[in-house]
Amino acid sequence: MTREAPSLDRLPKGHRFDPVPFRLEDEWVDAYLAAVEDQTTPKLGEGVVPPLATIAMAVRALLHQARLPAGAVHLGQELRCRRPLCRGEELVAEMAISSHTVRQGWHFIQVAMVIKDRQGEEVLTGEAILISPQREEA
Amino acid sequence: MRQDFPLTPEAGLPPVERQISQEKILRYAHVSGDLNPLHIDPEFASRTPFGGVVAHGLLTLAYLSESLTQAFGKAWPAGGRLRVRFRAPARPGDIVTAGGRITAVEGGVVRCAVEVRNQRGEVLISGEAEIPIS
Repeated sequence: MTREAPSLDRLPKGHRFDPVPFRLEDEWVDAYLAAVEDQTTPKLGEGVVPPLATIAMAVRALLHQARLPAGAVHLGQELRCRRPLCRGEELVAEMAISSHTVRQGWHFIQVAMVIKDRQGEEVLTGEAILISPQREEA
Repeated sequence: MRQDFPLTPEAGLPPVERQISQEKILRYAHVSGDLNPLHIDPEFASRTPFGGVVAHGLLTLAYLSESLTQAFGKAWPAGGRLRVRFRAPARPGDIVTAGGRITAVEGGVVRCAVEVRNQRGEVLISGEAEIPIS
C-alpha cells in the first residue's frame, strides 16, 4: 500500500524533507530544454545545464514527498549558483519549510533549498515562496 | 568573460520573446512533474481567482534565465544570483518578453534589473540579478 504525500500547505515551518538524491539525466535535460525552448546552452559551456533546470528537477524530486495544493502558485524565487552543473551529475537536494503563515485566506509558504554535489559541497541554493488558497479543515 | 554587449549601466540584456500556449504549459507540466490543475485543467482554473489557466512561474522564469545566458554565458551558472517576484501570471496566448538592463558594474559584479512583460506591457516578473565578471 502506498501512502499519499502530504499537501505542502499542511506542513509546518521547520519541516525538513528527506534529502532527495537526483541525477541530471541527459534524457530529462533534453526534455526540459525542449519544454522551455532554450537553445542557448552551448554558451554555458559543454554539458552545462541551466540553473533553472536543476531547480526544476529538484522540485520534481520534492513532489514525491509533498503535494502542491491545487491552486498553488509561485510568488517569489531566489537562487544562487556556486558553480556550473553538468549533465550526468549526481546531486542531493535538501529542502525545508523556512516560513509558513496564513494571511487573508492564503497560505504563504517559503521552501529553502540547498543542492549539494557528491562531495557534499553546496553547488546551488535557493528559496521559493509559494501561495495557495486556504482550505476548510478536514 | 565574453559578452556581446557593453558592460555599462543601462545596457540592455538580450530580449527573449516567447508565445505561451496550453501545449507548452502541458509540456512543462510533464517535464517538471507539476501537474497542478491551475496549469492544466481549464475548468478547475476558471473557478480560481485567476479565472483561467496560467503558466508555471518557473516556465516563464526560464525565459529570463535564457536572457542571462545570452548576456553572460558561463558566468551565469558559475556564480550568478537571481531574486524575483512573480507579479502576474502568463496565460495561453500571451507573448512574453524577458530581459532587463544593467544597473551597476562594481566590485567585480554586474547588477541587473530583470523583468518579464506580456504583450500589453504588464510586468509579470521583476527582480534583480548579480553576475560575477572576474
